[in-house]
Amino acid sequence: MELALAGCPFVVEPDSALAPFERVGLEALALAGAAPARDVPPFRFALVDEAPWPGADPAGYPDHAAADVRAVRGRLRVAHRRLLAEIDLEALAGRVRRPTPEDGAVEIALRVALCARLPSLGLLPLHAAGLVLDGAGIAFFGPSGAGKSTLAGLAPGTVISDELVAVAAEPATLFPTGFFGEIGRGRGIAAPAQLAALVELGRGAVFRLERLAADQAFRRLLGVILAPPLPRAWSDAMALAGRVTREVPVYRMEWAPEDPPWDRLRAALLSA
Amino acid sequence: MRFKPAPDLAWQDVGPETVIIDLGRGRSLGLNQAAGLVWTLLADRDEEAIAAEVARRYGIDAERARQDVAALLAQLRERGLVEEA
Repeated sequence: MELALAGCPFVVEPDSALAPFERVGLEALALAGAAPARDVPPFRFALVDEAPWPGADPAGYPDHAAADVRAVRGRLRVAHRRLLAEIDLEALAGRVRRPTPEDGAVEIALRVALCARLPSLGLLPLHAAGLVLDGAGIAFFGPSGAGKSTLAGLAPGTVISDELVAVAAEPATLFPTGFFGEIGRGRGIAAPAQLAALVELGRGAVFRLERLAADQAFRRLLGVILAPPLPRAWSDAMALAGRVTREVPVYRMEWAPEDPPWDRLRAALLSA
Repeated sequence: MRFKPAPDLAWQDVGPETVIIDLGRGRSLGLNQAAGLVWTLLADRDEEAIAAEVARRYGIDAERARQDVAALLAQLRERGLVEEA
């Protein structure tokens, strides 16, 4: 099966190894992550029956926890109760073993491979909610619990994601990746949008929006870059983060869910 | 003596600072401008040549530059950020 996320092509093969519900899930992922195709070779995932590395056993990992992602001799090993995957970014190839086909298992491997590949293509993977307000894309970033999903759930415009977006510096663009967190897919048709601002989220009793200096913004962004632990991916990601924070205004916003910030946010961004 | 950055690091100049990410240990470190210069010079110079360049750029005497560079490299080595080339 062929699919593209943020314009990055992937192949998951063989087709015969995908359960029908897995195919439906991947089609929905591709729809939510639609963007103009990039003219680059596809990353190929082989669905295999044997463990991708000796001694690998998914039974030791909890289902609800995030996947364990490690770099071993230049390759990424992804371990989760639902899957084991090995990713070779140089070869643009990976192997995935699911103990049984399960909804979301292949998506975990795709997410890691996408985040590994995006920086080399000029896209920065961010743990952020992406919204489009009046045609302007805004990425709201922050650690888990900062309010990304809450804000996305209240958004009056299109929600690109409440979990993972990709941003480009030149031109400043917000890209959907297809991946959502708590709010699930189906919050409007996602498409790339001009990136007007990056906003670090914080809870506060009173709405407050403060622009961050570029070096401060860079440091804040470092904490939400989702590149896996490969030096090359991080070198590319850090260079991109530097360009993004020079090209796009970065703010810190304090807000409370009972007092949605949209009108004041629009006004503040328009007057900036 | 010649040193090189340890594997599993990525770094970027940000304004006057150099920010280093240690992927193996999951931590980051900021170097000030002078330390960032030393970091950059590691690529193609040994400790003596780095100290000479630091002395020239900052207008300090050679002995003090040697001491400062040696102290910085010892710290970086202790933190696992550089190793002998």
